[in-house]
Amino acid sequence: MKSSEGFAVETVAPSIMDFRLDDTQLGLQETIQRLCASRAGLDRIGEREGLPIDRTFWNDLAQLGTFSLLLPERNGGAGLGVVEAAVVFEQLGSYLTTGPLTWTLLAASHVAGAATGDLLVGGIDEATTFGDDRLVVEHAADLDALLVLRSDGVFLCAGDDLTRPHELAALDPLTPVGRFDALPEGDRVGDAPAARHMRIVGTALSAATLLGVSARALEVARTYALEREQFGVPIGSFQAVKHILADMYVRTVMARSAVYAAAAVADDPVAAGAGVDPPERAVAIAKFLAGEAAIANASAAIQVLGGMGFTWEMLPHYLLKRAWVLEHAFGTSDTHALTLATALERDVR
Amino acid sequence: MDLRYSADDEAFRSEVRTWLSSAVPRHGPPPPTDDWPARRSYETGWQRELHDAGYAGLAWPAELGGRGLPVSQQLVYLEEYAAAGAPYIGVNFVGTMHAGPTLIAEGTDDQRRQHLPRILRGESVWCQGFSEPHAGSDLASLRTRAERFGDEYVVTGQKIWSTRAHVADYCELLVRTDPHAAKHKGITWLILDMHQPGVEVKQIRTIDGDSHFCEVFLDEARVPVANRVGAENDGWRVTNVTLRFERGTAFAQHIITLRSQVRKLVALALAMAPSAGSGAGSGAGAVAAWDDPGLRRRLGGLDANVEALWRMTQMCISEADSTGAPSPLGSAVKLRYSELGQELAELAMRLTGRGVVATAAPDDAVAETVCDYLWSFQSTIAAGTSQIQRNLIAERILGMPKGR
Repeated sequence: MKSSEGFAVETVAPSIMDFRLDDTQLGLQETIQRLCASRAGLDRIGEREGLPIDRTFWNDLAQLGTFSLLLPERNGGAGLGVVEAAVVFEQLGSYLTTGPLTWTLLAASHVAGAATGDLLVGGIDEATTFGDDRLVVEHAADLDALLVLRSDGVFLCAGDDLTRPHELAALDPLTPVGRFDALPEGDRVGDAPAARHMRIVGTALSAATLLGVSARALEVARTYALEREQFGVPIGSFQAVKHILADMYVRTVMARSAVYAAAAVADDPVAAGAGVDPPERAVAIAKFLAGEAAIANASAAIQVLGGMGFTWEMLPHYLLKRAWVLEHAFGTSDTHALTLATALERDVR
Repeated sequence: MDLRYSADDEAFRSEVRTWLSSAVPRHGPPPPTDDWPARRSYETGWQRELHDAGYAGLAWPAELGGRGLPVSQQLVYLEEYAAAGAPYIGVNFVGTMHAGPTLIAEGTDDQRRQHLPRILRGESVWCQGFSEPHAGSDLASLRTRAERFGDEYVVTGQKIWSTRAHVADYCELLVRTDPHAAKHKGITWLILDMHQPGVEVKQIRTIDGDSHFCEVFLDEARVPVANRVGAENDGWRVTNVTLRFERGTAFAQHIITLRSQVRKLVALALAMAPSAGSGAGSGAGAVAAWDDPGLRRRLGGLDANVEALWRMTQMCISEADSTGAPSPLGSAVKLRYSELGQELAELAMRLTGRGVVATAAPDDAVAETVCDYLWSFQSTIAAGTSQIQRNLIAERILGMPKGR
């Protein structure tokens, strides 16, 4: 237990093949949801545009243990697993929480101050980013440090070593993006297996965040379909609209199954029944499905909201744009599909 | 959340794997698809082997002849069963997956004693008499009439889409016993003996050239009142017990086979040069279809969907098991399974190339590809069309108002 207000850790007797969230996980879900709703609710999302990251809110997230979830208790963490982190990141995704959330969590084990919310750490995975795209970094101007995952290890570039980034016109109004002229070599703070592990966890948590975006898009479309009336009835009573919503639901539950399975495999490949499922395969499945679900569901939400869905005022475009930001982090759906194909080929040959 | 299989589950897995590795080759290849008596005897013979080895009725309570295994071991069994390429349960499907479970839940002791052991041993074959020409998606509007005379019902009407009824001994039959009640309130569930005057079965030839489905014509067929399952006019509730199985665990055995279908497609793509339409031509310059990154992405994506669907199936089954009620995920599982299966079957047609327009032998691999493809069209129609599933999801899970 981190603090009296932090995530409570309890030992739960293991049950077999149980997909339900346990009490610890439900507690996490509720805590983070309450914080996001009260401090960064979606009803006034437009007011968050153009502002720097809300450091008070960031500190509150840190106080709850968001970034130290995976750290062992002796290092001031909650000693929880990727499944619990996925529960938290699904909620963060559904509230379109702003900031380098995944990278700051990944950095917690290597950068003092990341876990406590004092430092904002961003990052780039060179294994899944190519050419000059590697210089394009979310929240670049706000970062205190940058993590770079390379094939031979984890490298940390301190803020002082980074050149001032050029601010770019961002797709997502809540995710500013900058381009560095060049990335310094940085200090090697982790070996190749550490980089591999970070890539697995980062991919799983990006997928969890995308899952949150998918679920929110469904919720927004569902609410609108119940309220909006045409021809004297709610548009949700038309089968043409129902079937769009049903497909959104199916995409969400498919992504959810894959995300939590991947998180469980990332925690313990053997225990999660992953004999044929190395963690790379499980997270590729999750990221592929969650990426597709988030983009497709946000697009469908625009359609269900009709003309209103096309306006800046409504939520769907924020969801769609965040989905694309996340789609291009830790490997696109195409990249992951090719990874899966390569694994299949090994299987068959 | 705990997705692990226990040590007991893994021990059970190796026991199942060992047995299947010798029993499957011993049972031999299936007979030709058009030889129905041989198919019945091949499939019931396999059921008998499952029974004698202790693998019949894994989900059924031990006191009724089953194994009473936890769901995790039922899933382990299905994984191993599919991986071993064991025979499809075929004619035993309705008995083991629908009628048996319904009798377990709703039958009398006599009905259970009479039928359950024979179903488990492969001694009796069941079919389903639910749909009618005028009652498809709107099943509750069924008209087949049963009138009670003393201790018998006399049944007249017509059923359709009764799978393998022409080789069945019994039919789980829905009839209208009260034509004046609201449509859901006047239905009764009966066990019909198929071997009697007044029961005529006609096979329907379907687009795959096969004849699984039948029409059943009932002309004053007799059903003893003792063969009624549940109370008179309470058949809709009893039916929903059966439909729950159809939308839940019964699909799992099909879903797990999608895994091997994906691998078959990969093997096919590795072996096949691009089809003539690509313009690349054949011969020395031809490359395997697998070299096309677009195809690899597509297969990788299908693999992701299949694996996630299996996780969702596990979730659906374990949820139903822990709550005792069917999981709302059932409709999503059925919808995704049927559409994914069609996508895989269509891709196999493309990868096979020009061979699909004419097959060399009736039961070769290409003929199987064509057959699987054509057969796959039934999956989005049977057991609740995809459109009905989407309505169910929108109305029951997402709370949309009923309407058109």
